[in-house]
Amino acid sequence: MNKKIISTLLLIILIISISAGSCHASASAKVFSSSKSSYYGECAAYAQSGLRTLGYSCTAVTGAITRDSMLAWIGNTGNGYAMYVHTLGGSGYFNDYYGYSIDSSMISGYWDFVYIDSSQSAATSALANAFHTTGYTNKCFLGWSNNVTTANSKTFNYYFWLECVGTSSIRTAALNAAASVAGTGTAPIRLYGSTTYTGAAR
Amino acid sequence: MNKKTKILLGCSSVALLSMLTFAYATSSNQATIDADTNSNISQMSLNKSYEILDTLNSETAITNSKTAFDKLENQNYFIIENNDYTIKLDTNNSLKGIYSKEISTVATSSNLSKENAQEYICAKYNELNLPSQYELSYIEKYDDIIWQANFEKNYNGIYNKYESVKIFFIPDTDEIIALSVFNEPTTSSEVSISQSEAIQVASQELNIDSNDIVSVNLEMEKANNYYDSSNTDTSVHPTWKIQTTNDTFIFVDANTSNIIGGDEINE
Repeated sequence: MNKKIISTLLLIILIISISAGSCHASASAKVFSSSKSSYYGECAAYAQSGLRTLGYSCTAVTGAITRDSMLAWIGNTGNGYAMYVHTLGGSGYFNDYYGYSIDSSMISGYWDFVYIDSSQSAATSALANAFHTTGYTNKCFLGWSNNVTTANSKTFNYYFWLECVGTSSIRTAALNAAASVAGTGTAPIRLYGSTTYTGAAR
Repeated sequence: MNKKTKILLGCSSVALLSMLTFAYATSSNQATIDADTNSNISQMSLNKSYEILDTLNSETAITNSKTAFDKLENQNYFIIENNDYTIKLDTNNSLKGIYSKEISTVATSSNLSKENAQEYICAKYNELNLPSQYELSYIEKYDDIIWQANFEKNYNGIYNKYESVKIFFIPDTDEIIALSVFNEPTTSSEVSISQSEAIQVASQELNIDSNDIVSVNLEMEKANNYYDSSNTDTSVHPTWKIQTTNDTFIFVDANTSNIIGGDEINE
């Protein structure tokens, strides 16, 4: 009798463990937000919320973010498939808090969704190609084709992450959010990769 | 029931409770936009939405309606959706935004001329009964297929982007992708100080070397607390916008000569 009860209980525990594993086996995402930029706290919080809406298990590093910590995530061999970085940068590179740059030569892996929120991050396809987000049906890269101010970036991120993602493709969500930033040339968002991918976690 | 069984039962309960707690914590973390899906959207709001959807050649079957609070603008909006669009109305039922749920065209380039795109968007602007006092200030291709147009209020040659309509559209397929209406009037349209006086103010008050100034433009800008954390003014002012070599902007009120805020480029 006792053996039967014990077997049943062990089975229940096994089922619980398996279901717990499957509930949280969704792809992971990481947010990096540098305090060199104003509104870094707000942008990090918006992105975390948006990535969770997309089904990612998400963690964030804010403040004095380092190149090593970002490269460690970029080089992860686990379940990390998405990344948002709010920082300073330029065409084909982005910086850590201390001004050390990451360029396309340092990037590896096949990513589902990457958004580098620094000026001119999408001025060329260099970063998008380096993350291998181009040429696939379910991958995309988001960035700025030109300079963007911190205030306009914050406004864009509020609408993009909190109102738009999860309701359409990343492309449409980005355009809807860009329309919510007043003025011409204020939110020069550019997408590389799939125009129909919703950003949903695998 | 023996001791082993009791221990196992206890462990199972703890595991189950932990899972439920974790699941609740994860789900409660996601809600950041306050939305009341049970709110009553008035018939007037629905009628307004029907008109807009009809103008967009979209079916008028509403799939969802709710009230949502916009924390950036600190106000409530009515959100009304069908399968194609999300319509955003303010509490006076004035149009705040039209946002497509998906871009339907699979074309990759627009073949229309700028004149034809302008003709299309001006006609659509009138059909949607958008503010007649705003004038077309910008129209260009945003990418190979999508165009962008801005209609803004003109104050003696200074456009106010905060009294404007910003539109992304595809004229080739008669498709409005995204449209936002901004309606924040300026506190003044007077320009009492010159560009050189504005530079002098910035130099004196913020120790800016005139050699470090990259550009100076007269624009409408919102005050903020960039240089003064105690400032709570967020209204629109005629502004000398001074850009410096370290990628920062200084906003000097073109009427009062006060420094009313600033900004910086993420570069």
